[in-house]
Amino acid sequence: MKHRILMASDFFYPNVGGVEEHIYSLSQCLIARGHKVVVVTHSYDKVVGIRWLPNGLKVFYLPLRTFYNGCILPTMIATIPYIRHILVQEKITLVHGHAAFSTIAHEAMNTGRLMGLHTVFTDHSLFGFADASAIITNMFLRLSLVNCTHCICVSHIGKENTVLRAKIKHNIVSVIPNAVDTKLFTPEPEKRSKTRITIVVVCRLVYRKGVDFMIHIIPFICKNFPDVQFFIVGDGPKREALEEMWQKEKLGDRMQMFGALDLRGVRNVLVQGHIFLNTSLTEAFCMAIVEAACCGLHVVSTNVGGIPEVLPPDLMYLAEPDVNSLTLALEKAIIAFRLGAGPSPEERHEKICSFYNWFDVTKRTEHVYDTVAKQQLKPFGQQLSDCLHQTKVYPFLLVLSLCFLIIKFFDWYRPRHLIDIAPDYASKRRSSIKQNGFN
Amino acid sequence: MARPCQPRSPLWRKVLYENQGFPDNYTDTTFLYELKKNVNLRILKFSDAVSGARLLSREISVVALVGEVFVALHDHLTDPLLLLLCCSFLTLVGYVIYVTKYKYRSIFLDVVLVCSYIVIVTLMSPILKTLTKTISTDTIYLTSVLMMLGHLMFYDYDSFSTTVSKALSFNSALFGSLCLASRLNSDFDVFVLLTVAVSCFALLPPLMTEFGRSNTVASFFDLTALTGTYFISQTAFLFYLAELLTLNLSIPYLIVRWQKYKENISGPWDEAKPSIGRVEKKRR
Repeated sequence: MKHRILMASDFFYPNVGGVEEHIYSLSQCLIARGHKVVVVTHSYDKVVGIRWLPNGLKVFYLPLRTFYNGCILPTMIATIPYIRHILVQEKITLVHGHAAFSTIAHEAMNTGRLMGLHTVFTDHSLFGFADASAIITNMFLRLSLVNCTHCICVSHIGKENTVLRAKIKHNIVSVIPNAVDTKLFTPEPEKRSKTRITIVVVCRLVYRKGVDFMIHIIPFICKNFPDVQFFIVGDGPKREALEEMWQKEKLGDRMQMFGALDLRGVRNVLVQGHIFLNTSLTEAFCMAIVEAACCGLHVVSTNVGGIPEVLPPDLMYLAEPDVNSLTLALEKAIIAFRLGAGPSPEERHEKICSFYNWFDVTKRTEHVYDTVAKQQLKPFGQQLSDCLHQTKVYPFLLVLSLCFLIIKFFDWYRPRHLIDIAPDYASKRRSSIKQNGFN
Repeated sequence: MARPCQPRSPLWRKVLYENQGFPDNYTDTTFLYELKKNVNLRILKFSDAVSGARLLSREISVVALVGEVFVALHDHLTDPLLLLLCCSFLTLVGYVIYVTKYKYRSIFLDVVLVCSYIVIVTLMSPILKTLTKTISTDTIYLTSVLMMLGHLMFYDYDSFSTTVSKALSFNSALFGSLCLASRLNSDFDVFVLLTVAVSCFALLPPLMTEFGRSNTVASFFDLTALTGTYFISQTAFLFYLAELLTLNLSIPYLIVRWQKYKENISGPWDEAKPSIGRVEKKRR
């Protein structure tokens, strides 16, 4: 069954990150398998309007400003005209929203549902239950997912979390992990330093990534292992704290900071490393450790969230999220590396290739699309009554009704048969993606 | 729900790196196994809740006492000198208890402090009296009520809450008293009101911290404030009595009863709290 899919998310290129990579790679593989995919996101500075990415991936950068945390202002109605137009003009049959924080994803899914389309939602993050902001966000997620046909989570922990937060049935939640571009992340042991052991950290330098741990671990390891150096890739508010530590401890060239890099740049640093360190405090699915293992590095990581599910024990040293445990695991990894224990870089790469690839992810996602497409559509009245009975948030029915009326208004103001249908992009290169990767 | 009778020949493992032959929306019996509810929950007993409420009740009574002193001065209900003597006597008693029982202080320095206080406030009283004279009385009353509420909000009872700010609570209370002072008739009245306010909001809190959750102290202040209201108006007395009963009995009762609705879930998805201890010097 061929689908025409709208991917909706606030997070897309030119931004970089796990969600962006996921949407891009999934779209490319879906196109390669003969589906039609368009992406809708908000504008990024000068990037606004319609852009074409390789292999006929059409991206709509809606002229909307970001409001908070890279998301647009949640109004529920502001994006309806755009989304409706895109859905009609591209003859979309299925709306796929990404990331729980993304306003566009929820609004596009809502519009799609009201226009009689099936919706799929992928949740990429974990969220707690303890504080007020979590309670409010979870309530919104619940409202949005009441009528969602199917959900996808990137790890088993993510599934448990989503089922609890949105109070949806567990059988409509699938677990499909992320993957990495194994063609890009290849090991190159000859680039490694012969005299020093290099420990690489790749993450945004924010509190959630455990930068505070690094500040304590790096000087200690440098003091005890004279042949160890640290490479740090990434930028963020905690960068200054790291630089201060670097100056205070007089680490000189023992610690280098590269700032934020793109995927290729990350790979070039990764291949120079021997050990990868991840100190995240929470993580649904850690792309960074998979990329590192794919480049043949030993991985040391905190045991939080979905991380223990991602890599088998022979590729990864797990530590509790405290300084002592992390230092111990790092020392273990250094000693193991010196002894030459564990799989070689090439073996590590091969293993990751057998675990994760985007075509497998795409096939599993396709399976979700197929099951979704076979299901009965919920009429508007049913959507309202489900929302009423499952969430008990009465005012939200008014919001849904308003959205519905706005769509009806546009159906009168700009009838569907007067909207030009966009021609499909015909590509001969589709089959070549499989051989050469898609970057 | 778990279906233990169903044979599961290839055992499902919670891993992503292996295709285990289960459908993607398969839910194992171990689903939500690590979910924990109400970790570290401390069930409050009624007595705990009451003793906590007494702290708030005591501080409200302290604020009410200052208010009553203002009314008494404003309406000439008592002799200002008598009020000053009462206040000074109680302050002295509190000082003696504080110095002998809890923390030793240099008495000489404290005497110097009191003398300078008397000189400064006597000199400043005429200025303070006219400081906010031009502002309408309603605004003054509203401001002082808000300031006193601010004092109650930020007061350091005995919690380790983040909203506690000793400086803010002291300053807002003193500002509220200053506002009231401008409505008084004579300089001496202003001096008395400020002296009462300073002893209640600056000198009392350290002593109260030492007393902790003392029922006797709280009852002393509650009863004094209650008696004070009786002499001002019957209505105020009834309202104050109702406030005391609600605060000390009904609200703790409701808190204890509603604890059963507490449902705090935690699990492996929660953000880890980083424990940054010193790196132990281990042998290499």
